[in-house]
Amino acid sequence: MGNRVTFVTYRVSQIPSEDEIFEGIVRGKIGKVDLALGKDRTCGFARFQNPLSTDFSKEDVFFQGLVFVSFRIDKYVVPASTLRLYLKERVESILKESGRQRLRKEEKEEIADEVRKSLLSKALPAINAYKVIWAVEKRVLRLFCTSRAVRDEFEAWMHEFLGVTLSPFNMATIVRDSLGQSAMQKVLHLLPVNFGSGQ
Amino acid sequence: MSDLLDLLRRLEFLGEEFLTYLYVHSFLDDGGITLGDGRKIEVVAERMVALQGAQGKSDSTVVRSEELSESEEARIALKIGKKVTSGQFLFAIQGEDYKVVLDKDLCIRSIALPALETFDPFEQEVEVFEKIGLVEDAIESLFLDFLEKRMDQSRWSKEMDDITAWLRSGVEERR
Repeated sequence: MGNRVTFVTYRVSQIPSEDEIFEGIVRGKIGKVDLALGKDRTCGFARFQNPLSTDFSKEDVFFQGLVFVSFRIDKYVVPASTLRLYLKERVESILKESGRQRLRKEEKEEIADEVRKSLLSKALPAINAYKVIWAVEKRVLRLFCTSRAVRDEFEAWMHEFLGVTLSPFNMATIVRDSLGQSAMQKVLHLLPVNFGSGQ
Repeated sequence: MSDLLDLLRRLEFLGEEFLTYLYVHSFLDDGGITLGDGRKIEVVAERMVALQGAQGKSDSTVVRSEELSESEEARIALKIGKKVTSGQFLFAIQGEDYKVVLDKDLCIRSIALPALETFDPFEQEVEVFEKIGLVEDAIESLFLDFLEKRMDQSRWSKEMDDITAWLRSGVEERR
């Protein structure tokens, strides 16, 4: 036995058409990070088999009645120790040029921001791509990732670009989707038992 | 979504009761549960079980053992009123074994799948997707069957008797 997998399964609120899904994926594809605006991360859809590409075709996305796509998150990071050294160098250079003894706190913060942006523009992003497989007709979707932060971002992205709401597969969705109103009321009125005492 | 979270909180005790029922049943009747529709799902608790008492996390026990059925520690924890909050279960479905770590919300934390039958990478993805679906269907069927018993006083009373009898039995009797 091998292949240990971790994932979250969702129930999807509705069944969009193939065209709606494809258009939603293309609209929600991952874009470039706008470093000039101080942003250091971006997310969105990428191809399943090659998450570095967003050149989608229906042949890649739809296979055997399933939708295949990646949810990718790119994040640019400047290590704190690197930022500290570059900032120190920049501050010393400004002090030397101006003949001043020290900089005001606000000036230093402004310089730190500039230095960070300059370093970000030279950095390579950390890229994480998570597999997504969606059985559209069954309204079942799996994201192969369990990070809470990634899940939240993915759920919001699916809502924004595909117009669907995702509910994680758990006891509450089983009860909501499988029981009628009267059985649900009965379940909600049950009281806990104690197996140890048999009561 | 907040309605579902609220529902999940209200049902929390049922998730613990279900895992406890699954844990004990996995050592009864040759490790299988026969559903109302006659299907039998084989399930065996193995290697790890986490239990919690009324005090919450400060009152928890984690038992790791190759032979959980003989674990006195887990049995004593159950006897003093603790319930299973997560555990590893082996499900035998369509002749194949799946090792599943399941928690009290019925969220699958991980699955060790059986060997895949396909070789093409894309077809393997489809196979993994479908195999996970088999496990989720089994868990859903077991939970709905448990709820039916739980809502039926006479059936539940018999379940409680079986579980209590197992808890009170000695290791030798259980072999």
